[in-house]
Amino acid sequence: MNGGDIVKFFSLLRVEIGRLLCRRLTWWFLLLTVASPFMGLFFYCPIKGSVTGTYLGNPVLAGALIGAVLFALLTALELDRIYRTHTNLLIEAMTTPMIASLCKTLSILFVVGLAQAIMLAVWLPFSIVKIGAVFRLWRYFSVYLSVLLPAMIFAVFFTACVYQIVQRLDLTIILDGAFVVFSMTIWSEDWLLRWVNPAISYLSDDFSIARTLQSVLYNRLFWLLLLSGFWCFSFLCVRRYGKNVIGSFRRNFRRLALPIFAIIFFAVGKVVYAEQPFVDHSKAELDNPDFYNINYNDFVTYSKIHVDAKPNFLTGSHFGICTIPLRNESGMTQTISFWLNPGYQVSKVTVNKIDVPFRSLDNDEQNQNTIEIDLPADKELELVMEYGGFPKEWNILSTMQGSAIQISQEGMVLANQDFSPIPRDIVDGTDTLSPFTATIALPAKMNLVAFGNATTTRIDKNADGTVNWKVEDVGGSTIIYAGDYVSQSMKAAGIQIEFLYSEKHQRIMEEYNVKQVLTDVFDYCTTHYGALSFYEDGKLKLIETGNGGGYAGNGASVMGEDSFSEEGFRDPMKGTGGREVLAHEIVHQWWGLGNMFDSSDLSDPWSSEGLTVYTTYRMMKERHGAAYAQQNYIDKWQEQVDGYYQNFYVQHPEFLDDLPEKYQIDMKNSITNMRQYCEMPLKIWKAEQLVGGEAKMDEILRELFTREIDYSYPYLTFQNFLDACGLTEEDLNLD
Amino acid sequence: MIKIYFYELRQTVYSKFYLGLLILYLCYAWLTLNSSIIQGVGNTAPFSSWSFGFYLVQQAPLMSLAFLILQWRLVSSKAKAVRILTNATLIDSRKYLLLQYMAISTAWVLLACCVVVLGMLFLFYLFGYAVSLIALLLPTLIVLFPLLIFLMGLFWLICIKQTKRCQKITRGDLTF
Repeated sequence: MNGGDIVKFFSLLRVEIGRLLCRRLTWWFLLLTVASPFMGLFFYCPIKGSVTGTYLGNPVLAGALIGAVLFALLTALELDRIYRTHTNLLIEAMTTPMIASLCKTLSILFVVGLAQAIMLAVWLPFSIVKIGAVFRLWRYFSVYLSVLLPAMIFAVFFTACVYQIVQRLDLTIILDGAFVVFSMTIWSEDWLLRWVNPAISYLSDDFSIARTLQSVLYNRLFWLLLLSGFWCFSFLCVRRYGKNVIGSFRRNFRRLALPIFAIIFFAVGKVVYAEQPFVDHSKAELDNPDFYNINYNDFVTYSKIHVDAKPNFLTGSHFGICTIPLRNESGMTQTISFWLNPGYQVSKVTVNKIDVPFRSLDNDEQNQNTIEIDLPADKELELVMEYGGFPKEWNILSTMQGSAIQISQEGMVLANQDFSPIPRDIVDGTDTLSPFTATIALPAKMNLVAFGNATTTRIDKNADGTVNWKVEDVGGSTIIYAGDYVSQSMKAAGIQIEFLYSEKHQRIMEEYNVKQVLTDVFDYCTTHYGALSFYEDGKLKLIETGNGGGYAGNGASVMGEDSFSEEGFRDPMKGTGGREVLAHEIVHQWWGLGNMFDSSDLSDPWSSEGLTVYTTYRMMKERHGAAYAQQNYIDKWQEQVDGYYQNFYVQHPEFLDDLPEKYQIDMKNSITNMRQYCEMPLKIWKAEQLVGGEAKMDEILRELFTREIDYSYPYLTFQNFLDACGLTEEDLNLD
Repeated sequence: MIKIYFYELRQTVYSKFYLGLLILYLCYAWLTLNSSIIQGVGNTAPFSSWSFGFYLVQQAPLMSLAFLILQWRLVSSKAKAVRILTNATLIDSRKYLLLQYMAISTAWVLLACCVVVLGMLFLFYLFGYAVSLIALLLPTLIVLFPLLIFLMGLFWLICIKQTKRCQKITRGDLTF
């Protein structure tokens, strides 16, 4: 194209945009697209548990789906219009079909941009109000612009490509539909192929979502390349001189730039897909005996590990230098190995300041890659390993990225092999556990927290404003969290408890008097049921993290932020008012974490909730009296259960059995909460009456809580409970 | 007259707008059936008169909106412009307006029938012979008939007012 052609092209584009904006149909599509996030509030809600997920993530995902479908349809109708009205001959007299098609597609992309801008403006006040204290403007824009806008652009691109090849409206719409359905169904397990419903399982309120957004952006890059290649290819099929698709293809192929660009885009897209840096290639088999049967080196031991860590908070990568004093008793050369995150490369290994050979086995398994190092025959060795890169998450979590690793300006989570190499086949040579120390520079606004007994200390400030922290732990690895943590200490049941949570939650925690609630719960549960097994030296750290769920050990317990969400505090199923709900969440330390429950059947009424709700009831009865507990717990459970027993399908189960499976599952799921939070506590309460009162029930629960765990099946079952009470399932029927 | 009535009805029903509206309403009806009606309302069966009545009540606000959208054609600025021409024809303008109005109301009834039939088919498919047709027809009449009467009355008042205004414009009594 020369200068004149470019001016003409932009002139045509301007006219085409003007024409498009004059059509009422365009504005209808635009209006529906702007309204589409509404569907994410009620009908399409894949993200659960956080306010950001509910009021930003879900509307955006629904908007992406509906917006993509609408703009695919608009593109198909617009491209077909000139053929439907037979005005193509007139247009082709003015310009080439390729330019006309390009103008049309670009003008629709302009409307996409307009729809996105209006959407951002319209939904902003709603998001600010609903997300409240944890709303951040950059998140709002980045989620919309990385999820919704590309979905609409890809829909336009794909439709334009298909139409340019087949030049039939019906076939284009069918293929568009298939493209959307593929993304929602058969590609749903492949995070890179999900173009319309990117894999976002959770959006944290208090902690970082950077890793999740990075993976979404990478997904967008892949599709952009692929569709750009497809777009270039489709231009070769634009009909010319009345020829059919093959004739036009031959004619257009003379413009060599198009096939060359198509090949380049396809090739780069393939590389981007194959070389994605986000998830590893761990074997699907989880209980591979080779992984656990390690031949330990009998001659080499280590006595200390020190890591000088340098995470890059802008790129999300992590670098470190690991220094390990070793003792080689064999007098011969030895080969030892370490586990490291598969995303990291080892750049240099020295022993006593001399480079030694090493190799990466690239045998990813359970998110660990083995690094082998050849040691010299010397007895006293100082191993220094330089490693780093962009950490990869375990591939079984590929559709839940951001749940295990985070490195960003908002926070950091690095656990075990994600932080530093873990000795694989060498053992600790000290009598007690060897020390593990680390130094790490963090932005000034971040505080460092370590799991278990580990301590973190602020050392000094650097010239660039960052702060150096020191981690002191024992063993071969550590788990660290960084963020805007604030700490609250208290003593309860003889335990020194340190509660670490995000500053963004401080107002809520203070409002609900978390210190008092924690003290009450720990006092009550430790007295009635026994001490938690993961208390260590009379200390316990409670750490809030970004994702739901929790884990515990070595004097620390991790709780997901969803346990402390303001919305959750208003859940009447868990308790009356925020403080009681907070108490409920902390009781889960005993029932849920201290004693685990099999959660493979989510609709099973026996879950950690039954005993947790019952314990909360007992606590409130002790605190506020029997009348309060009766009114706010027993009567409420009874009311819900009565409603449940009057339910049509409970009264006539034959109708439920005759329903298609999908409806049966929906029906069971709709009553699961009621059964777990109301029916089961009521059954436990009935059991309490049958076994002889509260004191006897406390004794039974204490026995169950402190029972010897069978680690092959560590869960507390309903049968265990019935056996301990000396009752049968029929005894607890509530009819 | 009947010819004009059917012409107006065909013009309304055979339009993309009507088709889009129909798809939209059927989608909403499907969502209602799948989410709340399937569970049964007030502990009654999903195929009880109570549940089916609730289903129709759920559709009522959108159905009312559909009525207003469809009838809006009669009082839109385009219609006003055309009315100046139709007023000049031999046909009584009031009668013609009534015909148009009845045709569009019939189109709305057809739309409502589709929603009712969808509900019935859904229940017959899932519960077969347990479903009683009479039990479903009763709430249909109780919910939709008064709604139709109310909406027709409301809109007829608007139409009359608009027609008088148009006639004044035609005679030159009133200017915009």
